This record gives sequence, structure tokens and C-alpha cells, in this order.
Amino acid sequence: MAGHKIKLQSSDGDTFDVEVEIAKQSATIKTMLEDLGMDEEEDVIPLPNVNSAILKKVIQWATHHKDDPPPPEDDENREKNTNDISSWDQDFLKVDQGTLFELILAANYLDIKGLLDVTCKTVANMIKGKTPEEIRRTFNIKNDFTPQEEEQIKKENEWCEEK
Amino acid sequence: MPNYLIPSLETLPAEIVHRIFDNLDAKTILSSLRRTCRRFQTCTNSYEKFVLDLKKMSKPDFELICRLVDPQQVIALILSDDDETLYKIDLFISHFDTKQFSQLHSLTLNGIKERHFKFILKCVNITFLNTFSLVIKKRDLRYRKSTVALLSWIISQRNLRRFEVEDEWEPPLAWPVQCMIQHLRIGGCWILYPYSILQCSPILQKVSISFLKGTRDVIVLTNTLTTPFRHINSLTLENLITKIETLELLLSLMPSLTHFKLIGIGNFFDGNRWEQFIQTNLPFLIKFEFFLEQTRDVDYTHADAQSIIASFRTPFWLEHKKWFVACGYDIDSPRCVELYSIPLCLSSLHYKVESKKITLSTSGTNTDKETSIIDNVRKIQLDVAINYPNDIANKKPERTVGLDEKSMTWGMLIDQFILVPLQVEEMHHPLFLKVEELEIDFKYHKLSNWAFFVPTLIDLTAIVRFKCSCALICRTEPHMLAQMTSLLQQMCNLLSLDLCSPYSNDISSLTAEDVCLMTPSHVRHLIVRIQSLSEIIIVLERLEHLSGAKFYFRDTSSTRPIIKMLKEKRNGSSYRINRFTLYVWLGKKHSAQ
Repeated sequence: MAGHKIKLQSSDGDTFDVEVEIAKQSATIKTMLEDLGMDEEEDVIPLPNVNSAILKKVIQWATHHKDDPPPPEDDENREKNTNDISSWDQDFLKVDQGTLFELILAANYLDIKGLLDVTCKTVANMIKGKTPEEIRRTFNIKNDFTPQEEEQIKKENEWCEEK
Repeated sequence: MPNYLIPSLETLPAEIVHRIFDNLDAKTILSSLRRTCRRFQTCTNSYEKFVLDLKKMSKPDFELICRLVDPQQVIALILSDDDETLYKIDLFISHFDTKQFSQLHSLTLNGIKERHFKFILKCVNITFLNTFSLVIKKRDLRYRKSTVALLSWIISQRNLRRFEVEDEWEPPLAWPVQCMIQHLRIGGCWILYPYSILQCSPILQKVSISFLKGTRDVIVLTNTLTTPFRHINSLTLENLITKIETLELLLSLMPSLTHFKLIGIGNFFDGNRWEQFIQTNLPFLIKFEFFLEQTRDVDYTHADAQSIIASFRTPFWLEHKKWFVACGYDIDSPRCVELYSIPLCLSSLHYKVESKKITLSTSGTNTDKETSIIDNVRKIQLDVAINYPNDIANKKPERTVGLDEKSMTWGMLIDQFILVPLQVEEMHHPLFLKVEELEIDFKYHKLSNWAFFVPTLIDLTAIVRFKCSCALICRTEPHMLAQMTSLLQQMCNLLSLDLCSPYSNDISSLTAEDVCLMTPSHVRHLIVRIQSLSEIIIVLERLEHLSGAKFYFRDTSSTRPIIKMLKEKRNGSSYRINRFTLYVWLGKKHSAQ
């Protein structure tokens, strides 16, 4: 049976009907609903920081994960494990970098911890094992160090780096 | 065309960049990302959640991180001392003796020498510690008093929530009047005074005690102890040898338990008694895990096993709690019987190919279930020896002794495979999927098709540490080397390779060529018994991927050539050469110019 729905409006004006329980994975939306007492199907929640394409992806992710247990609290003691991304999430995040970073920003704005965790892990996996130059190439980053700064950094690293 | 800036890694807000950092190790952040551009240099400088895991690390990486990291940006420090990283702790102390880890929330010291403990603590501000874990590898009575005093001081910290120590403490640790820990683990405990801990710890929730093996009557309770400690919800007792009455008295003090794990020896085999006790005293218990053993002077029989397991077949066990158990004994040593909950709660197994176990279970079987039954096993000591080598080809399952089909368990399933190893071909995947540490033992004649059998039993891609005896590798038939090489090449995540039996003093017949052939290119640490000192040089020169090694040898020639080679080709190496042993933590590589 379909649950109670609300409307989410993207920055470019599109509205999406979403079940409340799915939308509430966003702590931002959950707080809005509770604070503003919005429970009518006609009520529209504006999300000025998320465009239609990204909002659609976010809803897709939240729908797939609607029955997941709440994500664990951040634990400083846990091992850094980025190999635990589910195959569905891995497929879901096979997107261009622009979309990936927009998803990160949306997850951050909407406060969806599970989505933020998995997108950040995906980026971390793209960084792991790469040299500075490889990271620059992967993410199209410009090396803006001055020659003096470059020299300084090189010195800091060179004596224990393998030749 | 979008009229906004498409975000990139570089333009993400610092808080999100830091969140990405949370998933990266210190080396990647400090030596890769920080050197990419100014933006990431700034983000690195403002990052305050470094987790410094210095457990297994090459020496050049260790030195690099110690030089680059600001200890005030570190919230978690994991430090271990072992043969693989010679003199690491001394090096650590020399780097940080004048600086302080002032924001540390978690400190894990694993396998350190007692003499180092207080020097490490001098580098650390313990005020903010939330988690503290200590395993002392080498005790030193000269420092014992100060160690105990320091530990008592750490327990008294008001921010501390998790406290784990491994050792027997004499004098015992002094518990503060008000201790704020929530999780307590004590390993190597030789006597436990629960009251002295529980009455001082008003928010303690989870207790895990591992007793010294073989120590009896280790729990001391007084008759005046009647006030329950309702805050305890999880209790683990390992290597417990005591009477059921003592255990019941202890458990009755913890009426809010939701999880109880028991590994031990004693008269704990009466399911009806457990049922009554749990119903009366532990109404909230959800998870009850156990692995119990009992021995007697008379052989156990199939009827005995049936009688034991019958008391665990009541509606309370099977329907209300859905707790399933298995009971078994080895036909060759039938005076010891095992009773365990399913799934198996042991993380380490000694596994004999020639085991002839009779096992009964209250659970039905199917292949998928069997897999999850043994998913907790992380370490296997695999004995592929057989006593009667000529019999193995014709072996048939020997235990059809009156068992109905539904009484088969993982133990039986495995034993059948072992008795008829070719049957494992029918499996779609190995039985053990999460074993990280494997030790293969070939004391006597071995199973003829062992090299085929092992990968069907254990998923070798998960193995991180592997150990076997090289002396015995060469003593057996000529195919052994090729078989071992093939096995090792399947271990794609192998980091540590030990080809040296600690029991063997034999002169190894392994040459440098053999060792280089067998060692996969991703192995970082090697322990091996080798023919001569000159062979060591060849191994170190050819296996450039090693970060540390330990060699045993029977050669009295000069060690100077090795020292010369290390200075020229792996400058900065830490090494120690004893009479017949060389330990080395290798410095940075110098390629020929």
C-alpha cells in the first residue's frame, strides 16, 4: 500500500511526489515537516539547492534504501573501510564526476547520511593509491604551487620517498 | 547550458573534503592529496581528525608520516610493536618525545613492551581519551608498578568510555570510586572480582572477560552480593572453567542482559536448567552464544550426545528463542564432548582433516545456511595430516551411525568433505569465506590432494596472513613446491607469509630461488628458514616489494655482506642479527642510477 505523499520542488521548478517515509531519510526535510507541521498532500517543500536531475537521483536512492536500518553514528574508532559499498550503490554511482559531486552537495544539504557516506567513500576510492599527479589528472585539478612551494614540498617528502 | 558552476572536487566545501578525508589513510592525505594543490594543502592543514594507524607500515612510510603529521591533528593513534617493524616504538618515541598528541580520543597499543608504555604515554594527553586499548607483549617487572599506576589513572578519566587491557595485573588495577566506562574488556584474566568493578562503574554496559587458559574457579563472588547491576546488557566470558552455580550467581546480578557469550569448560550442558534459569533471571536475553566442552573418564557415545541435545529441543529453544545448538565428539578421542550454539561463535578453529566427528544438531540444513553458520571464523589452523596414507583414497563417510538427515550440521558437512575430499567439487563456493589467517600444518603424511582441497574449503582471496613449515615443504615429494606456489598465488590479498615452522631446527633446503618463486609480489612481510646468508641477500634484492623480513639460517659465515647490501640498497633499514636469525625492517629502495 502506497504511503502518504508530499511534494518536493527542485531549484528549476519541477515537483516530485514522494512518500513521506522516503523523504524523511533527509533530516532536513524531516525537520521541515515537523517544524512547519506540513502534512497535506498539497504542501510543497522547496529545495532551492537541488536541481531536478539530481533530486530525481536522490529520490531514486532514497526509495531503494527506504527499508535500511538507520546508518550508524560516526565512530572515530571504526576501521576505514571503503570496500563495503553495495553493488546497487556502485552501479547507482557510475555517473560523471559533475553528477557525483552534485549528489554529494545534495546529500549534505538534505542531510542524508547514508547517501553522503557512500558518495564520499566513492570519491575516496577514486583517490586511493594515486600519486599527486594522478589525482590532478583524475579530477582535473590545476597545480597552483609556485616553484618555491613545489621545492619545499619535494624536500619534505624526498628523503624517505623511494627513488 | 547550465548557468551555474558544475561542482568539482576542488570546489567542494572544506567540511565535505574533510568527510572524504575521513575515508582515507594518513599517508594518502599527507603525501598525495596535500601535494596536489594549495586548496588541498589548506584542507589538510585544517583537518583535525587524523587516524594514525601505524600497525603495519613500511619504514619509509612510517618516517614520512611521523615527519609530516602534526600530532595535535590526530584523534586516534594505533601503534604496535612486532618483529615485522623492528625498533618502531623507539623511533616513534624519538619523533614525538617533545610534541604531544593533545587531542587524542583513541589510543590502541598492541603488543608493546612494558618498558615503552610510560614513554608513549608521555607523548599523549589522556584527558580526552574515549577509548584505550593495551596489549603488553613483553612484560618487565621493573616497570610493573608504574604500569599499574598509569592504567589506574587512565581508568579514572571521566571521558573514557572503552577500556581494554590484555594481561594479568599484579598488583590488581585500582578502580576509581566513579568510573565512567561503558565497555570493558580484560584479556588474560586470572581472577575476577566482579563486585569491585561493577560497583564502581555505574554506566558500564558491555563486559568481556577472557580468562587465562586452564585457570579454574576464576570468578570470586561474595555472599553479600545481591544488588543487581541493571546497566549491564552484554557479557562475554571466554576460557571459563567454573561451576554452573558460580556462573548462575554472576548472571543473576545482570538481569538486563540482552547478549551473553560463553566459551568454557564445565557442567553447562543441561538445556533444561538453562531454560529455567533464563526464564527466571534473564528475561531480556536475545542472543545466547556458546561453545562448551566437557570431559569425563568414560567414552561418550552417540546415545550420550542424543541425550545432551534432547534438552535443547524444547519449544523454549526451538520456537520461542530460535536458538539452535549442535553437540559432537571425535570418535578418536571420545572422552571430550562439545556443545555449541549455531552459528559457531568461535573466531579461530583448529581444523583436522582426519577428524571423525559425530555431530548432532537441533537445526536443519541447507547449503546457504551452512555458509552463514561458520562466517564468524577468521583464523584456521588446518591440519592436513593423515595417519594412514594408504587408506585415504578409499575413505568413505564413516559416520552414518544412526543419524537422521536433519541432524547434520556444518561440522558434519565439513567432516564429510574431509573424509571424501573429492566431494567438495560439488560446492559452488568455498565453505569458509571470511578466513583471514591460515596456518597449514603437515606434521605427518598429508592428504594427497591437499592443494586441490584447501581452496575448496577456504576462500584464499580473503587470506592476509599465511603460515606453514618450509622444512616440511622440501621434505615431501617434488610437486610440493609447485603446489605451494600455486596456492600462494591464489592469495591475492596476502600481506604476511611465514614459511618457517617454529618447531623445526632443521637446516632448510629452500634456496633463494625457491623463496622468490613462492612469494607473491604483494607480500610485504616474509619469515623464512633459508640455506645460507648469501641466499638472504638474493632474496632481499629480488623481492623489492618486501617491507620487512625475518630469516632463520644455519650459517656461521660473516654477516658483513648483508649489512653492506642493506646500507647500499635499502638505506635506513633497522636490523638485528642474532646467531642464526636476521630481523629487518627495510629502509627506502635505491635503484641503480
